[in-house]
Amino acid sequence: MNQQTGAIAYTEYDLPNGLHVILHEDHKAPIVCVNIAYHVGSKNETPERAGFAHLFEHLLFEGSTNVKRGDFDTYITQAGGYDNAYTTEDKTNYYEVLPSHQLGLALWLESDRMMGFVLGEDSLRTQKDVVKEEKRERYDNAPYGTLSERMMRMAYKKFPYKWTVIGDMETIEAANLVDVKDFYDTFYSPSNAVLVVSGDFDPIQTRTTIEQYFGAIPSGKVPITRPTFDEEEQTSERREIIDNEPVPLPGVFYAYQMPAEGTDDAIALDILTDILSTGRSSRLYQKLVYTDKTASEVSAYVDLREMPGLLWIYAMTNEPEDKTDAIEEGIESVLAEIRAGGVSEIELQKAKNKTEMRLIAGRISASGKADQLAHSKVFFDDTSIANSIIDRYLSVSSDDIQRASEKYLVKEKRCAIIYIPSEESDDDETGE
Amino acid sequence: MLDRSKPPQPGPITQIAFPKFISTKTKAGTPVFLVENHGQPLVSVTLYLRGGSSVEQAGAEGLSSVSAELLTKGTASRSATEIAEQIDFVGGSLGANAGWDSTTISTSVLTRYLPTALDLLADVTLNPVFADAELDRAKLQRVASISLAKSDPGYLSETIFSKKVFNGHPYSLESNGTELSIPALTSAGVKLGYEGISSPSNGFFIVAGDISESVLISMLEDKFGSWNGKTLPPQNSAPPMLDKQRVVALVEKAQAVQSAIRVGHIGITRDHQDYTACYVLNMLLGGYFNSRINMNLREKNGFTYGARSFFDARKQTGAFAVSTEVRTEVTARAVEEIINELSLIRKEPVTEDELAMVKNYIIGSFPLSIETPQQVAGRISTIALFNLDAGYYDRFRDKVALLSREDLLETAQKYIHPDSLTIAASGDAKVLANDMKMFGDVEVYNNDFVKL
Repeated sequence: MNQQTGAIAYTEYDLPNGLHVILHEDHKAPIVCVNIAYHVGSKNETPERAGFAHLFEHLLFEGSTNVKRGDFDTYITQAGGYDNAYTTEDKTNYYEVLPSHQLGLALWLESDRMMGFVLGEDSLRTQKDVVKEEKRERYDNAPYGTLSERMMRMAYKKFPYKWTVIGDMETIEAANLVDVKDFYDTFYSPSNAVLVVSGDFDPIQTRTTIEQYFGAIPSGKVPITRPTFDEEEQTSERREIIDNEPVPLPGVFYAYQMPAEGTDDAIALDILTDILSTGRSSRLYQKLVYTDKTASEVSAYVDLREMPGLLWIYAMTNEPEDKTDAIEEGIESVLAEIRAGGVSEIELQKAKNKTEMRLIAGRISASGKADQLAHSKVFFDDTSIANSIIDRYLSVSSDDIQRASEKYLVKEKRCAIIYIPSEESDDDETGE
Repeated sequence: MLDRSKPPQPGPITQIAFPKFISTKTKAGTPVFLVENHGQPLVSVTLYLRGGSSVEQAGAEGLSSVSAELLTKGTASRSATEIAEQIDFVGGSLGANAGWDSTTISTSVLTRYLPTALDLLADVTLNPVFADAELDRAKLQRVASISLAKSDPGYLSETIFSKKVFNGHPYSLESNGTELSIPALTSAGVKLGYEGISSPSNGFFIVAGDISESVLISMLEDKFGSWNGKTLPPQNSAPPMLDKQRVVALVEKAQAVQSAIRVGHIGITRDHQDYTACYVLNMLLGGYFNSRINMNLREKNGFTYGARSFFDARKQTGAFAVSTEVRTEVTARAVEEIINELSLIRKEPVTEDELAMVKNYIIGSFPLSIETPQQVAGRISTIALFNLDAGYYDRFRDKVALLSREDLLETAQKYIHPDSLTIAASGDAKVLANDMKMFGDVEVYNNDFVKL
């Protein structure tokens, strides 16, 4: 990517304990972002502790050797900053955004919890309750909220993508302080982490501060065993009909297993999902929503992961009593056209423009840039991919898309979940 | 030697002023505000038209929002699909939305495609046709999206809360429409609705990103030069008064495992002189992670994933509300805790520490809220939309710094009213109706908001 399209300039190095450091200077605003990504997610859990990586993310805010319970957020907000974290199947990311003169504070806080995490029973109890409420709010009490759990179980038979990041009530509740210590000792070591500082800072002074705070943390002693992808190839459609949940409209949800993030086929399929459903000129929108009027909304997107992830397509009917057959036929006919004839040059150019726009929009803020850099290092062990990936998107051809569609977007490799409003639910009656 | 037991001393502060922005006008008199920033090759242009869903009447809910939606669905010279193809091709976005007090028509695009995007923006603003076929499509999708919304617990409690608090005022209506009002809309009606706000004298442009003033103005003159100027009548309804009694309103939600709670009452307008004091008070009370309400409900009691409060300050009036989601069995206890916090903040002055904390947070984080040109543009639109002083954000931090404990106590006593609360919740109404009796007479509604 050239300067004009805003490549992110950076320097990077390793500390002797294995911590990988990436520095990106940008002095446009007096703001700095500290981002730490640990290479651990829900796929590193055991089935008995599903949800633990995410619960642990909550726990890590509960205190460390020199930071009392509750003080982490207080320090950051007092400095005029904000902090947050997120957990995926593959990584856990913590970040702080601060006025630039407070950079030292974030480095102190992050190093303290990387060096000596402290947790009491009462903290564990509270955070289990908070996480359970998060699960209720986002999944159990939301329409179609059981979808991801059902789809993961259907799409993955062996690999630890078969449970969701949030986990189950029972496995969340089962977590104890021994699990906490083991998980911390195994995964929260400098050699399993990437530290990014992005924004307005003095690089020489910052290197010294990083060395002071992080240099003394011992490297990880517990070897990490990472799961190898062992799913057998799917050879026939998997299908489930859910008709006992209070959903408002019938919905069709498809997931096709796709290759890992960063592979040529994943890039081609990512471009394809733009052609399928981004904007009102997209193929699925034009067919299902605009022309046939069989769906009120339709969407296709890639759920990219470090190991093979999923390409999702979903659509909702217009009314509660509508059948979903026409939607299913419509989706299949659009995919069949692409498998047979690929896509047009105009569609390709359009999708590439969208992708470029999206990547650039993600680079306006210091935190957006930090996230892209950390992600590339953790997933690909190569920071430069944050900048080079755009060229690979821009070189996708219609043949690439056609080939990937023939390989992955076929009925035999599809997982389908169809939701139909339950009888006893009166949610769907129009207001009389 | 490094002392790990204490946080490091902060470095020298970089003082940062609210960014300078360009304020000018088109020949037709439409104000133009530009935040010029060449950091990334992107430009966003938003046209604000005064008047949104707050001009609606009961029975025609959703008219403004459908009218806005149809702007991009066909003009005199372009079909809906042509518009979509042209903006999608350049990777940009083009959309129109009705808010409560304004309707926005906006585009965001890579700089090199700005001429295409502005051409489309002007075309959909000046020449929309509101075709019957497009209206029919929009109705079908809208009714479906309303039925989706009505299975969202947050939507249910928010809607009943607004109905009770804004009693009779257009802010109490469902701005996306209802399953009855949407099918009744006509293309003549939505056209008339749009014509009532579309005038170069009734709006302003907010532009952010990679463009200079001279280029921008010449492009706007070129594309919007033919926009005709008519004067529009003022649009105001009488704001509702504070209810004197507590109201408990529940919405039945099938198979709920959580309750979505909204507790509050009438608040203030955005241009109110006490808005800043209310903003600071609220931040301490429920506006940020360290606030009293979040600490109580989440960190102390583990009732919720998060709880927050806010002054939703609009043009004609506003609301104060506390919002959270908790598991069914602790709903009444959570409401009790909320009421305790609202009562306490009126009774005793906040501590010096709390006040210092919240000021540090608001003043210290101000630079973060103006990092990107889009964020700055958002602030300027607030100034323009609510006719605030042009220097509002230059003085904002000083105003915050001057507030005392006594000021906040006075503000709490004036603007927080635990005895006049509307307590709304969606969830398992059978359990809640009994548990919530302790707060007042309970009304139960179905998800069409019909009283049972």
